[in-house]
Amino acid sequence: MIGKRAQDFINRIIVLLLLFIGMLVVVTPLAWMMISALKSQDAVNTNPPQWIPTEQVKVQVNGKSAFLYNIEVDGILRQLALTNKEGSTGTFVNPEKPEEQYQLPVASGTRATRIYFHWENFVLAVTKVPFFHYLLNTMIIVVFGTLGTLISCVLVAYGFARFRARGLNILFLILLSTVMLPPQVTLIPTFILFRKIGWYDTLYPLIIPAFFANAWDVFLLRQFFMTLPTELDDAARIDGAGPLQILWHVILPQSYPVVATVTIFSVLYAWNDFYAPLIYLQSESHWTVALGLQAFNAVFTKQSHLLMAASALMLIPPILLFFFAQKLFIQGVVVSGIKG
Amino acid sequence: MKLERLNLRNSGVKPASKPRSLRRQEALWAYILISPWLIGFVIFTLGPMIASLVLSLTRYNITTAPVFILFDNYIKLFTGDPKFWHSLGITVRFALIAIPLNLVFGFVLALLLNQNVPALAFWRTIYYLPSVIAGVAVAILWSLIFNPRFGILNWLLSLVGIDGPGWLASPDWAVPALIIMSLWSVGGGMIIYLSGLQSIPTTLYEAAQLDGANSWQRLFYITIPLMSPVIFYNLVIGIIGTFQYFTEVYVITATADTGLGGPAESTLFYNVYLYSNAFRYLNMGYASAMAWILFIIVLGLTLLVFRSSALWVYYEGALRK
Amino acid sequence: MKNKLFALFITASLLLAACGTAPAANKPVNITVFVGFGAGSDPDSMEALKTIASEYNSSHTDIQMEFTFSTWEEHASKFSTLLAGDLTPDLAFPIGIQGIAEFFDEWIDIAPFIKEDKYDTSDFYGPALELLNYPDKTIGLPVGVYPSIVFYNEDLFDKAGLSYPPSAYGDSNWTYDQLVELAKTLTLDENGNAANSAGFDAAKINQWGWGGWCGPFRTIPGKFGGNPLGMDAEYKTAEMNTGGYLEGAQFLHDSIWVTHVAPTSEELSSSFGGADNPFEGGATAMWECFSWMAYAYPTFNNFNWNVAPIPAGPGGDIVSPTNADTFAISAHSKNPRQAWEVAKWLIEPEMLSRVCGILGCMPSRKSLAENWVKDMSEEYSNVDFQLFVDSIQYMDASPNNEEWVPNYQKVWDATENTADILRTDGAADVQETMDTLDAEVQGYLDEYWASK
Repeated sequence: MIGKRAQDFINRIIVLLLLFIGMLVVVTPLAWMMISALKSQDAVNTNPPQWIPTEQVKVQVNGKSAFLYNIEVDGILRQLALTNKEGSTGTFVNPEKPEEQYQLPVASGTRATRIYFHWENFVLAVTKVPFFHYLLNTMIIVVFGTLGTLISCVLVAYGFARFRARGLNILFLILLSTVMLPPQVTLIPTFILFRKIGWYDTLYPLIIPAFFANAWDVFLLRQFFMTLPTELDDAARIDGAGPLQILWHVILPQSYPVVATVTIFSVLYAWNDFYAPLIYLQSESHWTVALGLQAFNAVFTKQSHLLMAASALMLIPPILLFFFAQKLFIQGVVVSGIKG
Repeated sequence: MKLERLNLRNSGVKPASKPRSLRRQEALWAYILISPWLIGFVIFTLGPMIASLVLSLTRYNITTAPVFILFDNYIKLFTGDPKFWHSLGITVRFALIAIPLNLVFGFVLALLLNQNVPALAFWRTIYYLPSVIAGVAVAILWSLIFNPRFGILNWLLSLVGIDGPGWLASPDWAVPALIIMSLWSVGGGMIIYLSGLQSIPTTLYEAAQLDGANSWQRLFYITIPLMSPVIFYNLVIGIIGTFQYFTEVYVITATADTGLGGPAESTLFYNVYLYSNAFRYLNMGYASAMAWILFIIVLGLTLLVFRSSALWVYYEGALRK
Repeated sequence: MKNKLFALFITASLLLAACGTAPAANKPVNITVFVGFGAGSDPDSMEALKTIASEYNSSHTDIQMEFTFSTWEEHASKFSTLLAGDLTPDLAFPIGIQGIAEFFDEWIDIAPFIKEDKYDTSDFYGPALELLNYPDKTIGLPVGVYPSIVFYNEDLFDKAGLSYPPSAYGDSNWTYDQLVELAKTLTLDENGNAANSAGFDAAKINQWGWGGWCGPFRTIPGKFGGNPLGMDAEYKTAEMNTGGYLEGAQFLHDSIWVTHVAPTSEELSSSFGGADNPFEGGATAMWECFSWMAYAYPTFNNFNWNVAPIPAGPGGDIVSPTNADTFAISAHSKNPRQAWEVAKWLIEPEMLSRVCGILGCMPSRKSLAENWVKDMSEEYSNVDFQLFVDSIQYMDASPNNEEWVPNYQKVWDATENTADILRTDGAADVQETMDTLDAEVQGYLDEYWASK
């Protein structure tokens, strides 16, 4: 019979092992993203793909740029620059002594390469676009949007979870049904609506609707609120508390994990959304980070290295938020003894 | 020692009925509390929804005003458009596999990440990372994984002697590739399960352990029943989201040589075909009709799930009638 | 406190007065230019275009211009919302033939403007002008042209000990059949066996002699004597299961599954960063594509490369499928005249040269060809850019491979889907596949005419 300590230990090992294997799967594309962010532009799309940022070496010879080759001359391996090509024969010169020239078949040499990490790509990604402006706009949307979502969704979910009224169930179904219609077909009517209000090219369409709750978060909060026992509510009510006080003093303190979840989702959505900004914003001074960085994937000038750098940078705020929000995911704070 | 199975039904001791005035007050509060949504619904949502319903009865190519053709769009969809059924089939088959897989994976992952292991915050963050990456970068990353020749997946398969398929480039394997892709970002759903798991009182587990329950019994008799509201949430959200599956396919195939919904229309999901009708064929009326048909389907499925919830979803704080 | 309020009041009244007395009559006309139908939405281009806009604005008082940017992926939904929301941009620039076809009814006829201003169009390439002359309207004037060319990897030829393809048009031996023969020696499996040798393993090809045609299927039939549009001149009957369409499809299918010189769809997607680019990775000896591949030239530079003329089809037809950029004026624009003025300014020779430098196009003016060849040759010294200019005479001006047909996008999707089938299914019967396509497209044509 294995003792409890040993059993725990084995369990932990198994879990760690599973997590580790899973992590490899999950982390590999992310590692690729980081590595690609450090490559030069012509190194991103090589075949086969590189796992270490490697690029071909160019040198200056007589004021012109030339590729460096590893090529054998009289049996010795040299590094020479290819300055001219006539058919399959090339003129190779010594970059330090340009008078030293050789006529050799190009196919007998290979391009010299070097490993180089282009850390400046991260800087480029944020300086090629008015990043600070974008960031400001995004923060406004994120902060106010999340605030609006939290306030409205908590109130609405509380109403659906803890109260009874005629027609409330129907309304809940209507709430859910609002997200069952593909948004492509409501895009134009919604756009015309916002246009008529005069909100085109402003941040309002991206913020104001958040103050009127959304189906996903209300549904989630409602489910969660319904798992909380009602005894504490009753006790508070007997003590004379009104519905809002019950919400504030009883419900919410038991709901940190789900409120944290809603916050994280809301921030993440506002942070990453580029579609709504694309449709409702016009002047670049109103653009958001997500929209601005989309530009690096433009169809005829794929700057994948900058796109990867930009995408990697975009990960930082949501990750930080999640990491620090872990504190709220502590094991249940529910007061025990009631079900006793 | 016998463990008592937690009562899953919402029945309970019926207290004495409330007096009318209290009920009316309760109803008033209910409506006040949900008014933010109600108002927003009327202002921002109801109008466009009705507009799209009306548009579904028209021919509308955006450059000129809509023309009423009544139910022609619907008739054409059901009787004269093979792509309608094709796209519906792809979507349903995808849903049947992806929804259960995502439910199970997300739940298992959350269980794993709820254990007492060192550096828990680190592990959770790692698994959460994929769902944070936005659109375009995801496509590029996935072309790495699914690349038939150099991709990681086929490389792993070759280690065990399997010659990997063409994945996103192959009509037969594109959808499986998308299913695998959907699992990668299961970390998003994991958070929801985590928040549910966090609120299960540890006293219950302690009591069960005192009663001699092993971990499997604790899982099936405590964890899953108490998590059923969250599982229910993920199921409903999964249905609604999966039937509208679009963004990933669009990001991966819109600029690919094989065109939107390729290769060979194997990834022509319902919403992808809808998008094509709306913004590429400029057939907004037709697309609106497609949207409302989908609406009916999803609503029907959701109602079914809601009906069934009385059988398997347990709310600790459910209001007794 | 009172003083502060008073000061505020004075300032406010002064401001109001200033606004009130501003001359209302001479407000400049605002022209919005939509960028998103083609190139121009990347950060560098955006910067450069905005600079151009401010140069225009500081030198003009009656008209002010502004660029509106959209990503290419979303240009259709963005433009649609602007249209529906009564915010239609005045100009679309740059916009290709495909973009024109997407919103075909939206563009006005600029022939009256050309006539009124007696605008001199002689400097533009004739075929490019023809491209933009539709039966009932002239939609724009060419900005950039992108003819097709054969890119080839000199290093792979050197390794195989083969001499390069011809360097000029006029070699009567340079046909697609000859290209395929050449490609066989350049197609190697992972053991180094060429496609025309014993022991060649077609399932394990490492290097392809020919990457195929990068463009849509409609670029192919013309080379085989057919009509790119695949239908009669009245757009009433589909003709996609005979002639050029059928022969082109057969050639495509054979090149992949019989001679094995071209990659399958799966193998094509193995090239990174863009499934339509087998050349970039250095594993393809020859590949035909448009000159807008210029954005990938830096990556091509990972090996020694050059360009060759377009080969002739079996009937002797030399067709260089061409894309072209133009501008188009929206029918919902409130100031079409002013939009025309802005467009004219943008295509003046010097400005056009600059614009093409930004967008990566070959200028559509004959007078700019020499400088363009010179500039490109300086950057890529090994490559013969004169060939691009020479290819213009073989361009598919009318009908063009991107040109409008009824139910444009549906027909487009159908032909692309068929090309897909040809590239993924070795066992497909080409005649049957084209018959299916023909029937489907006929359906779209019938549908279109029935609704007229």
